[in-house]
Amino acid sequence: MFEANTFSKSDLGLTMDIFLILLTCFAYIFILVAYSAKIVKYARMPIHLRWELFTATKTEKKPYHHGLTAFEAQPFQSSRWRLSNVWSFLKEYLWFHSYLSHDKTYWCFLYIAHIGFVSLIIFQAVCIATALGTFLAHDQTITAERATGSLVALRILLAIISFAAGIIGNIGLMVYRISHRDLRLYTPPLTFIGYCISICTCLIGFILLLTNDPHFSGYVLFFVGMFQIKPIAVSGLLGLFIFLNMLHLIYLPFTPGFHYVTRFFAFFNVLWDTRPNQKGSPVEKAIGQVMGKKITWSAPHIKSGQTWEQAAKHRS
Amino acid sequence: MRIEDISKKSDQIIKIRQSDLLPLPYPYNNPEKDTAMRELSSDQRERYEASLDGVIGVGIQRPSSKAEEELFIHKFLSGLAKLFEKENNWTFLHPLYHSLEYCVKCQICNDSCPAYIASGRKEIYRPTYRPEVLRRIVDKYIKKKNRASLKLTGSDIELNWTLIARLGELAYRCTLCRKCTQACPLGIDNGLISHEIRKVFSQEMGIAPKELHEQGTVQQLKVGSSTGINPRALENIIEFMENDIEEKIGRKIKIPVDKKGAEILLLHNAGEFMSWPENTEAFAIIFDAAGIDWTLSSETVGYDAVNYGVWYDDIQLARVATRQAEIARNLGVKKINVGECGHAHKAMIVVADRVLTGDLNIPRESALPILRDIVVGDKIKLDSSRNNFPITLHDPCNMVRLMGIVEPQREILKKICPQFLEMEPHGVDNYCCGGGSGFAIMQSMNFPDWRSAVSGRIKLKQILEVFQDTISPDVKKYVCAPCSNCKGQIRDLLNYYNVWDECGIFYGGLAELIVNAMIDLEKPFIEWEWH
Repeated sequence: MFEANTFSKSDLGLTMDIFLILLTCFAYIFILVAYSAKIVKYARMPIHLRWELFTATKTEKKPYHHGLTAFEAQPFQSSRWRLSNVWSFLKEYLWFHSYLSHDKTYWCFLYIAHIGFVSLIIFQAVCIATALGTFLAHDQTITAERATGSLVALRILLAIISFAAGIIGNIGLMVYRISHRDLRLYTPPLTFIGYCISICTCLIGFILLLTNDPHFSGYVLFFVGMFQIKPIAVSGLLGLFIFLNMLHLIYLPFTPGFHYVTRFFAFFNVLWDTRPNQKGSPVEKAIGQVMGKKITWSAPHIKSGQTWEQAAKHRS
Repeated sequence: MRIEDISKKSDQIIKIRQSDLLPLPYPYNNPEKDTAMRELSSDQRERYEASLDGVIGVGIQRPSSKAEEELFIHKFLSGLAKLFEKENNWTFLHPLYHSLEYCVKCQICNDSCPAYIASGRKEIYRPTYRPEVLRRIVDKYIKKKNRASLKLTGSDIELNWTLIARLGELAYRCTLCRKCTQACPLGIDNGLISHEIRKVFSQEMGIAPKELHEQGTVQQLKVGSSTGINPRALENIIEFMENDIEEKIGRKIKIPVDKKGAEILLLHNAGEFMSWPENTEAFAIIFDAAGIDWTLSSETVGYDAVNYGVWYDDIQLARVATRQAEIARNLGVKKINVGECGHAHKAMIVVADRVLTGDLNIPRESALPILRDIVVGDKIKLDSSRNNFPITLHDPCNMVRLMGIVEPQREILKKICPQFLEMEPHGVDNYCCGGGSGFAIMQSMNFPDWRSAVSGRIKLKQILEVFQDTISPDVKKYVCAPCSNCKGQIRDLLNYYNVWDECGIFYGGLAELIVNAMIDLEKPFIEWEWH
């Protein structure tokens, strides 16, 4: 039996447990705030110039259109084209289509690493959900049996997948990036640190799974303690696992990893933004607003302080 | 080389050696037939920045004093900061942020870049190189990250005059063909980075290739055309064209000019009037035969479709587009149609769509679908046997990859050219001609050599490959390039390698092929005279 123990540890141990709870709270709040800020930043970007009608390049059958602004709304805003865009987007999201066509070895490690990452997130979500269930049951005699009682099989399966895929994928990516000059040259130390954190997290997770806590009950109990604001003692190995896991979460906003979300904006709000500027449309209104902004570019051919509209009508 | 080497003073970061370049097919598989790039003179090297690759495109003059050098750096940083302001750069702020912040440097885009591949994969031409240099500068000097953060994110770079000048030149080693953008699964636009660097140089530092700025947009707005053609010269040209048409087809056609209320205002790249009047004449012949209600404009800017601002300066882009739209509005035409000019297509139809509002937002479309409707709809009588020679089609990036106008030109060629061959890859997957983003008109020092030997090399390879079965000069072959700048680049490319004499490969537009197939013409419209 994995007995929950809230008082048996030394002061140092208790301090560490409190630290882990604070770190966990901080990590989740930090990633939530950081990512929310990024979403808000991208969602609030001003309207931009259309630099292409990219819809045409990402769809299987290439249409032509007359380039007539008033007519563009018909083919490019139709549900067929929207579906076609969504499909080509999903191909990248679900099986990294471009990587698969370009470099199968890289794709293989990248895909495995991402499976590991996504599984780890789901694994944590399942652990938290289980802990929340326990917490909401208002049961003060928390035991491993209760904690492992629900979703245990799923939890173990996710743990195995995420740890195995995390180790294989990240080691593979690290070796691949180091061994290929064109990748190595452009990979910052932070990326390698990220690989190392992921590998260590998964390795320790595996050791925990095999030796210490096959059901990951301790991890669930840790969250129960967190919800109760009453630290529950965790083993040193689990403590290290939690620490690395949270470190990884805090690390994420400093990486390009948020492309999961920003690329949605890049494709749907930029590259595939085929909304024509029709009279009286929201697009026309937005253009009117940005054309009224003042510019401060200072090259000799630009009169600083003019609005975009004035600058566009300036002839000299 | 390492990325940060761009700021280290040296004679030249890379050397373009003939032996490194992408091999060409027969008859250029013999290195003796390959042409070596001209070296710069010592005087040119002393006066201008040439330490990037030994090529001068922009012509950035060396500073004469320390104060001048510091001002140069200050202005660059000031302009760079403005790139990230909504007021100054709403035009491309969103894709710029995304491209700088979220590229994972997977290098999947590398194989898309014609300059990178053709150069033998020189590091500085790699599509991710410029963005990486810019990201480091932004991190260190705009975001002012601390030292630890710079080390961790690999952003430590020393900003100095050398780096900025090299970066300015490097922005003009990318043709903005955007094939790299098309390849990116994350929607990163590395072509945009070149564009934004060009903007900082032009809009803040007042530095741009003179062919694009002084002789380009400035001259167009002032005189009427980047070619220098003023309204009076246009009158003479139109008179010449009418006489030439009469001589070629045996009947006079009156070219409509400033016809109020016409259905179409046709905008040609004025380069056609100067270098290839047969293209503008062909349009006049076809439109006349098909009974199209159209007109040209004789107003300043109204007879030149070009808008070089699209390559380097958003303000100049807006000025030219606004003027063109004002002319169309004043004429009361129903719509504007753009002739065979790729960048003008994109500038007027797509980009300007977020600039023109109210009564300036006049419908704008390509002329290619009109030609397609005339040919496929049998509105004029054509005989395909008149075009019975091998023909291939070059796809201009701006109208094909970036606008999706893929089929009209193909439907026309399939109908009137029995020996039509596709080069590989083609359509939206095409390679740039090497003259994109203004390169075709940039004649500075040894830059034309670079665009023939490097940026255009892959296009030459495609052309030679598609005609391998009939490569003998005895068989006349035709590269159809429905874009004025592409046509200029292909002319220079074929000239550089003497391809007309060696292989009998000619070039020209699309409209000429249609007229060449018209059955009521007594003699061929295409004259096969090199020009």
